[in-house]
Amino acid sequence: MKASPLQKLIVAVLGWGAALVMFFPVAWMVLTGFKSEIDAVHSPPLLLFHPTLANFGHVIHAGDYLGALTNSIVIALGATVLGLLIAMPGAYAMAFFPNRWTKDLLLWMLSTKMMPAVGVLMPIYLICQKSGLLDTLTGLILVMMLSNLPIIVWMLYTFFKEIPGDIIEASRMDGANALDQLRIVLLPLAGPGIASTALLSIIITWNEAFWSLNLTSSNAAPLTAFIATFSAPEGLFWAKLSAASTLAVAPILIFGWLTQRQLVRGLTFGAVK
Amino acid sequence: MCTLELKNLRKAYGSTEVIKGIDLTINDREFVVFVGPSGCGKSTLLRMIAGLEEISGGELLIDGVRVNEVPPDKRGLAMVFQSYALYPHMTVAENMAFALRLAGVPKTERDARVHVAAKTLQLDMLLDRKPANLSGGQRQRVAIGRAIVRQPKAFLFDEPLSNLDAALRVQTRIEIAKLHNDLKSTMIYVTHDQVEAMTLADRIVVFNAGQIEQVGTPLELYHNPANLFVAGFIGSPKMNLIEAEVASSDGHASMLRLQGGGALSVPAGLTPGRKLTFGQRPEHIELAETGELAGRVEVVEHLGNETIAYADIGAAQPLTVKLSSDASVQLGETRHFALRGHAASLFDETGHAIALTGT
Repeated sequence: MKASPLQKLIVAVLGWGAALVMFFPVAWMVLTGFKSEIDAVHSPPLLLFHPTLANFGHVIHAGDYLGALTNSIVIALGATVLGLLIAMPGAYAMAFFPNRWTKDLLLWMLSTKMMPAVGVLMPIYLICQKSGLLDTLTGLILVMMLSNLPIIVWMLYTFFKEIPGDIIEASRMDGANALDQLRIVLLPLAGPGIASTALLSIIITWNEAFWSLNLTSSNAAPLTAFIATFSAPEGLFWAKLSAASTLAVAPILIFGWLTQRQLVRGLTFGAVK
Repeated sequence: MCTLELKNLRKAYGSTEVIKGIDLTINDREFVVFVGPSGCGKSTLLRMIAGLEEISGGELLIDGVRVNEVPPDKRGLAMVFQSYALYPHMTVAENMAFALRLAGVPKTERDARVHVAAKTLQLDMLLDRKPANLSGGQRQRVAIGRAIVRQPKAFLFDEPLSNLDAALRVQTRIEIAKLHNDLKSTMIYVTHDQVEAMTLADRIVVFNAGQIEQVGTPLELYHNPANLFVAGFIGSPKMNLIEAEVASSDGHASMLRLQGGGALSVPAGLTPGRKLTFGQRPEHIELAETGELAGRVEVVEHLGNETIAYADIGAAQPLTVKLSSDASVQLGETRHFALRGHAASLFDETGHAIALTGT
């Protein structure tokens, strides 16, 4: 099928429109971060203003931006690496040695994501409290990892499933033990899939706010909790809040931009075959 | 040296038995083909021999040693898969050297062995390519090369030609036959294609529903099928099978009355009134002025070297006749067909072959 120039134009306009709608809040947040507090609440909203870096300076000096950034990085990487280590053997077993329970097991794992997180806030809070994991990186890494685990297992399972079983069997005939199979055959073949799973897990963990707000206060607070401190009871400081948000999303935006090829390839993997 | 002995070998998934007690000895340097319709268990049996599928019962011996519990790589067998199963992220050379690398063979020896195998299979120009950049036939050769390099006790082929197009299939078939001559090693080859079985095998094992129907050389199976299943499976076009009844007998020869046709004498002493199935290969039937059967010609296939005609003789199946290419036979005309009683196969009510006198 060939699209006419008019169809192409319509598609282009719609595409750009959708992109603008999605990008606008982010752009507005970045712009507001460069405004003074007075300009920020001006009505009608100002497009032209005297840009200032004061908010960024305030946010970095008043709050513990670097501490929160470090926490975010440690939590995102920790939860992802731990999640992959736990999910990989599981996904391997389910993809290559399925039994009649495999499908049910996968669905059950996913079903845990259908429950709102707040539903298990009480028990998880109490567990963390009793085991001394409240406001610790370990606690948050564990909770984040467990909450992402179903998605990681599902993604890895799909990627492993794409690898023909014959190849694994051929490697068994060739003398590869379970570790060799994983190391020499499975990992290189599923590499792109594992990478995009890891990227997605990092991004989800980075942006997660519910658990970070409820399970941390200062020691282990990541960037999402850091942003929230600027929405204080004394009043809402839009410009500072925007500056803090910009600083919080900037690292993951840049990271996502750099890895977008891998991300898109991983997420559409197997869709066209 | 490799002799394989299968002793009452069984495979069951839960309560479903798919391999129902196979007894078979495969001799050293023999080319044995497992043939049968899909789902008959031939591939499962091959995978049990390879060690990829657990053995539920019975014993598998390689050179007299029980290997039921021995892992696949320790059995000394190499397998060529239907899907080739090449490692896509490795070059041809790396694919072929993979097993040696795992076994810790030094690089110089690995390279030497890969080069010898590559030369045999005309892969020497392709050693640096990845499987994605090879044609189907080349991939198949790499898969075979990967098996050769290991210098296995025996080769296992699981429908290796079914992903190739017709021309390439014939060519690769010839290459595999040559390979067997050169390597002189034991080979087990699974196929559902009886032409591959006939052309390659020293001995054919015909499977049906998890059991062996018959074991024999290609010509034994062709000329003396043990039962109706083998008679219908081996040979293309298929053997004609016609219901018949014994009209009279003198102890050495009997007169049969064929369904939808005339009477015919066969060299066998049979009880009059007995019902049986009369089998005749298409090439043993001729056009004639007067013949035992008559029917309207429904389909004519001109193959160049021969002509195949299908005629409705009032039986369940049309009569298949193999004629010379210059035979004059027209669609729609009614013709008479002469049969050859001494070249017939007879089967009793249970489907087992009845021996002819003098054979």
